[in-house]
Amino acid sequence: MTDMLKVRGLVKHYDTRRGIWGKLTGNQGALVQAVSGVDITIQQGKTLGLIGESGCGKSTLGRAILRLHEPTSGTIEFDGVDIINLDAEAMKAMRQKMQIIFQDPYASLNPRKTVRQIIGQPLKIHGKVSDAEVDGRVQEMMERVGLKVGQMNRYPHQFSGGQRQRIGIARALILNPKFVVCDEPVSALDVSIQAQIIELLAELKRDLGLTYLFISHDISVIGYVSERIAVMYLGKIVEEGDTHTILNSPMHPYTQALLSSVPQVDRTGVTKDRIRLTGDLPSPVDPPRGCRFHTRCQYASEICKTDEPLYQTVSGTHSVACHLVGNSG
Amino acid sequence: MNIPVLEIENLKTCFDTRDGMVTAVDGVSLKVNKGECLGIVGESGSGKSVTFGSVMGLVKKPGFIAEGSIRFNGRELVGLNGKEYRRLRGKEIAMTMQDALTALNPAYTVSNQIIEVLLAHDDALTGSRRSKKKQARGKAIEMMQLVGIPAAESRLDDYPHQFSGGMRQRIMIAIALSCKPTLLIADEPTTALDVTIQAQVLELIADIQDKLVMSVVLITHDLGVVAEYCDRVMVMYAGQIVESGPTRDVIDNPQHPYTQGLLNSIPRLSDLDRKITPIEGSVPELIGLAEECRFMGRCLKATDACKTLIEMRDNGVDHQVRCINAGMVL
Amino acid sequence: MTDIGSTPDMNKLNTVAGETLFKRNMKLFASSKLSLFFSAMAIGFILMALGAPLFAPHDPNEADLFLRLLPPAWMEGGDWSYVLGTDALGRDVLSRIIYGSRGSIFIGACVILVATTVGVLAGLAAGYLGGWVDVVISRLVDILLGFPYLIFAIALIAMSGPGLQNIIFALAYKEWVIPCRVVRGETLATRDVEYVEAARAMGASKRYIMLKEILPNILSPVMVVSTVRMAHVIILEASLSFLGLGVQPPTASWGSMVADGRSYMLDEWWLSTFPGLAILLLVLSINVVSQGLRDAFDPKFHD
Repeated sequence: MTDMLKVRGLVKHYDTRRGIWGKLTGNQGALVQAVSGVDITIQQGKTLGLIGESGCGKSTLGRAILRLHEPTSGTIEFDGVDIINLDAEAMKAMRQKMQIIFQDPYASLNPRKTVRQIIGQPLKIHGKVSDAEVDGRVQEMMERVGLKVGQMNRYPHQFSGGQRQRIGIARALILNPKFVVCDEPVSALDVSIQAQIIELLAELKRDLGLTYLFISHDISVIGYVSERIAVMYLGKIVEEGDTHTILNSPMHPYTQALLSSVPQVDRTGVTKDRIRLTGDLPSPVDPPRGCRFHTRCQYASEICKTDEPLYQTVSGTHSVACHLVGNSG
Repeated sequence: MNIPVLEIENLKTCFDTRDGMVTAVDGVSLKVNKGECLGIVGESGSGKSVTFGSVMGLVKKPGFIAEGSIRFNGRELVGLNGKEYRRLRGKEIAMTMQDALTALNPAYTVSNQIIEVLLAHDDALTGSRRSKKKQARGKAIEMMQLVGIPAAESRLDDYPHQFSGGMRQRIMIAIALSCKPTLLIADEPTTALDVTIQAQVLELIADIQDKLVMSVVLITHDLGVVAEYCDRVMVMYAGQIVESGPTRDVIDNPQHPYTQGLLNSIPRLSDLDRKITPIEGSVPELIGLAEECRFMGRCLKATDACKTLIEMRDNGVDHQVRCINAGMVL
Repeated sequence: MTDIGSTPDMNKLNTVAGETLFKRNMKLFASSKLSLFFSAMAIGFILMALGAPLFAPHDPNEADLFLRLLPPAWMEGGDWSYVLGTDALGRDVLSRIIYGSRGSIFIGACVILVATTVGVLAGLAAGYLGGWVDVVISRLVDILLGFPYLIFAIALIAMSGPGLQNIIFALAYKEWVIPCRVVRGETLATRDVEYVEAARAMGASKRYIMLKEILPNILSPVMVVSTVRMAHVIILEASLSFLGLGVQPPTASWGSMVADGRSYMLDEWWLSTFPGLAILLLVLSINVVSQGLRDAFDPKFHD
């Protein structure tokens, strides 16, 4: 089983600070520490589910891995190749193998282009392919994702949300990539349509041998589609392991709180054993010192306030970053 | 329980658009009893928001209420003039919207917005306008503390954008509850929120409901939320109610193919190996609908008999379905 | 999600298969009688300018001193072969107005064309590329905006003489900053939209993204701004020729006609009035058309 993606120590900071000028104008800007040192490994043909709440940096991580936002530091090894140091031309070629599906079916398609142009665009950018060839491939993709070929010349606003998402999927897959970042691909869709798209993505993964990084805030969906899950909080991965382990025996207090907060169809009445997190999510501009979760953690101890916990393997493929687990500190 | 707090009978709300008459709500009837929490489940085009927009008198041109009656504590609301409605709104029936950032006026402080509501509706305030304002301010602080906003007194004069999403939602709830309404309509109160904040907000609503013996209508698309917080649930599809009954009943024993389809299409944490089955197809256009079952095109149980007007029929204790094949086993 | 007061997926209902947003908006534009009427008027002016030799009853420069200062045909002393009267040199006012439209419209169109092209490219570059490109262009825009327009134009023409190219330059040198600012703002707003990100994810070049992804989506406001500014430029050109700095005699120009008629305002009022009226009508029709375009293309104004 080969590693399709190996990310080590990835950092992405947005620095809009302005120093003296900032002090003078009163607009100091800020250092947004969106992603602060993330290690991820995804094996070929598997799905890693990335879960977290707003501000945790999961979307930024997905884009940084594709170098859509240039990482501040760290390494990304894709299919054995270090892509951080690739020049523009080599990176362009590499992009054929790594693609992204976006969350918003309305903003992710150019309203002035026809479906045919949108789906065929990657082919035109990368190769000297004839129009006839492009059309052929576009039709093939449209059928594969469940769209009617006769609607090829329509514009995005003439389709429903679910159909637009299919167009986005067709566009992402037309170059036969090996790896796809799915950034909340179903979050903006109606529940009954979500299931359609989830099934489509699963089918495509099987048929085309794809590897997914599936980002979502919906734990049930992540649990359903992923073989492994990574939990992110304020720019760091706090726990990672295979799906069953994470969902049934989570070790990090945040993961436990997250799982207990999900309203479930099988539960009735307000559950008294819900773990209540106090307070709001801190902002990535000014993360708490020590363990970033300590301000909301019911188990927080002295060491949690001063030292950052190490990310350690607890058993087999289960890793956690917490002082109370394992033997760090 | 004597008269229900809210009773809707055969409500029909339409929108006169350039392309034709869109019937967003078509013959909806429901009751909300005192102290209960009613869940309304539906997707886009189901009419769930427009139904309660009609209750609040917020449907504007090109929309209008074509037929039906809406009775609040026995009093007919359809046809009420603007002034009367304004007296009701905020004071006895309150509504919170999905997106708290746009629902709160960004140009005014939070204190301003809560106090404004109190000054307009609270009859318990006495004295000069100045003294009323002072009293209102005191009450506003109480409300903010009630909804769990830390350091309420100092944050009272902040602007909406200075709060996080969860806080803003709570402020909206604080505004909605400031006059202790009889009925709270919460339209997708947690859809835009993170799951841990969502839990806090929902528990808050349940808590307050207990304390004030308030009735709540919870509009959502999340069946899990309905399962945990609502006493009864109504499932809406394409402008009609297709199933209604006690929550546990509807969820454990769904009768309408749409409800069944919905429940089968969501992944459940408790049973991840269970395959989900999507409902094929999509919601029909709401213009010029024929007199037949609207779910027919996507229904696995559809027969020729479904090509007529389908009414709600009883199917179990307090459980109603709009389907003639409800008992059918495939 | 549906919100109160709107209906689900209205977009699907309002268009037919294959119809672009552009076509739909143009149809909306055409549904307003006011827009259609003034569009016809504007087109009328353009046709008049193009077909001047066909429409003008006389040679605009043919002077007949025996027929000088004839009043309009419906007044006493008027002559129907000189419908709007004649000027101090006996030249037919109507013919001069018809030929004069050429100058106004041609110069107006040229200036707008040049200014819009430069402005759009500069705005795209400033908005998308950012960095020092944006700093340089934005500062240039700020400086030019501070220029006292007319004084500089006068100085320019006084220095280099009133040729056609100089006039166009004098009018365009500052005009490009208007579309530039609009385009820069729109580009900044559009560059982080997901479909642009998608293009980046595919490996599209910066040039491709600016020209093929962003530009088509910001053309609406550019079109509206350009039509409004065209009216403005026509007035500017008229002011220049009023001051004697525009198109030189004997070529007819509305501005100079108004100027020439100044000393005759009390008795021979038609000399200034009709060219003035022509300016008014042309500018009015362009403004109404641009207003109609803006309304048709802005989704907030309908539905």
